[in-house]
Amino acid sequence: MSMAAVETKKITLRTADNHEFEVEEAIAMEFSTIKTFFDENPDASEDTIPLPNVTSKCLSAIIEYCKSHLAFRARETSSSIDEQVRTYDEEFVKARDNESLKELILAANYLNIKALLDMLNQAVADRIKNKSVEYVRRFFGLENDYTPEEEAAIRAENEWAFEGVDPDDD
Amino acid sequence: MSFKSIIQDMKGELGSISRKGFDVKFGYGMRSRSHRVVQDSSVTVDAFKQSCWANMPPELLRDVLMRIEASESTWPPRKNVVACSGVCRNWREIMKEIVKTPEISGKLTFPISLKQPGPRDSLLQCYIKRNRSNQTYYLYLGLNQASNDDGKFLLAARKCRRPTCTDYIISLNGDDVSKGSSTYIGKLRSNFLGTKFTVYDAQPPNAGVKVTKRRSTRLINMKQVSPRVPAGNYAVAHISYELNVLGSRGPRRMQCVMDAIPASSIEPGGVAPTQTEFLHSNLDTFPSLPFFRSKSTRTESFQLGPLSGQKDGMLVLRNKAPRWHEQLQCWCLNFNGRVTVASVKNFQLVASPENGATGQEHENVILQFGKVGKDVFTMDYQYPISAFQAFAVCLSSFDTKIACE
Repeated sequence: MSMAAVETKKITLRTADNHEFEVEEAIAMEFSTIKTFFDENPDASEDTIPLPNVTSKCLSAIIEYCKSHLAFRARETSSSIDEQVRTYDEEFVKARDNESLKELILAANYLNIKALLDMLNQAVADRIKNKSVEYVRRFFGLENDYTPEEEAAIRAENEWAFEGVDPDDD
Repeated sequence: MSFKSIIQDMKGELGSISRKGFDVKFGYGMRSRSHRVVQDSSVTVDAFKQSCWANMPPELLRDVLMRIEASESTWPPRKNVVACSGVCRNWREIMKEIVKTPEISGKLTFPISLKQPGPRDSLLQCYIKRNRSNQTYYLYLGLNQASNDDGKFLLAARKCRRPTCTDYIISLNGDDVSKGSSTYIGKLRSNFLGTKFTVYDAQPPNAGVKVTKRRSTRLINMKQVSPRVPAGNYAVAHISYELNVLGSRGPRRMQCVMDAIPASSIEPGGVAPTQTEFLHSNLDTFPSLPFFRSKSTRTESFQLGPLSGQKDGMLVLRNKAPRWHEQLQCWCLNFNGRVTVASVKNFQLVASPENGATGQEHENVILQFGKVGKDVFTMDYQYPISAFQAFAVCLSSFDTKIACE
């Protein structure tokens, strides 16, 4: 099969903090939000796309992620590739603190990148799984909106659930 | 699509912005349609940072909680599902929606799971440990097929002997088994002779508690300190023991009338009442439900659901008749390996044929109990009875004076 010369078409994205990123079209198409837009407006590809909900820090991390995953997918599937993908994902998440994890999730949700969003949501689930109720509240910046009586009932419920569990299990 | 409209705004065209989409994606109040988004960029970043997690789109929060519920499916990790439900009201609502009852999922999650019917088509395997020194019995969910030592604590029952009867107080807390405790959930009372028993539930069995609107619950709690509602006494089952026709040379006969479960529950398409919350905990409930103490109240008068019509009889369980094994010279029941020590206490309960259309004894074992060690017994139960009811019925087997040589 002969292939026509493929131009590496670039799309320009502007982040909330006014940085402009030029990305290859293939990568931009990983963002379903953008893909849908271009599907509906095929003539708009020359325009700069504003992303008022994404910071430059987030976008550069997301672009890196999509680039790497595109490269992985281009190679033949094998268990060693799967292993490499797993390791890449673990590393991607490991170094990030809770704040940046949250920002990435909201950005991935806005840009509608399903695989990244699933991976990040799982990372959050893993981070709060074994933690106390207070830790989870702090992590999410949530207020305890229970009355003292309800709080007592919650404590009793948790006592039952944690009964017999080593208190140092956190 | 909100994206398209941002572009159109920039070009000075009027676009239509879906309000819902905007709110959900941006996580804060919608901006004026004619406002050029590009001019807002710096303001947007700050607002974005502040609103962040507290206004997390509900579908993302739900996704995270679903992942936790799915991965923590066995005990002890399942405690994390309970912990997440204690974070705040919103989380509790979501988690309660995600977690299915034991009848559907086969899993025990919240304490209320112990008051809900067991799984259909499979037995939940538990075991009971007896502590003779403090007259207390402990019920555990078996976690390991091979061992009866590896379990999740479920309930505790303490024997209280009185002049004319004996009570077994049942509690969610192994260290606090008393009637006045907030963890009291019911009791078993035996008659003087030890031949008849009544199981009492601290709350009405047909109490299908609905979750009230958040706003109204908050208002009520702000206006007054809701008193802890005292536990009632609702008879939910009657157990009787009799000698069989062979007198004490044959296995005793056991009958359980489950007042709170209709006979239709075991028919195809039948349902059994499912409590959804502990009323005295004030979580998700309207605090001022009437409660009353009574010695032996039948439940008909309180909150009859569509299940307890006049035509519907109560479910009656009887013990499966053992067969006499001529060679081994003993009475035998097939416990499928779950019972290993011969004991007069061992039994299997099936639905009594007088409920069903056929005259045949039902084959489906709903409750099975038997000895495996000096003070260790297995208890397996399934729909339509709950762990609490099963435990209470098994306790009667310890107490009854009807014996067999």
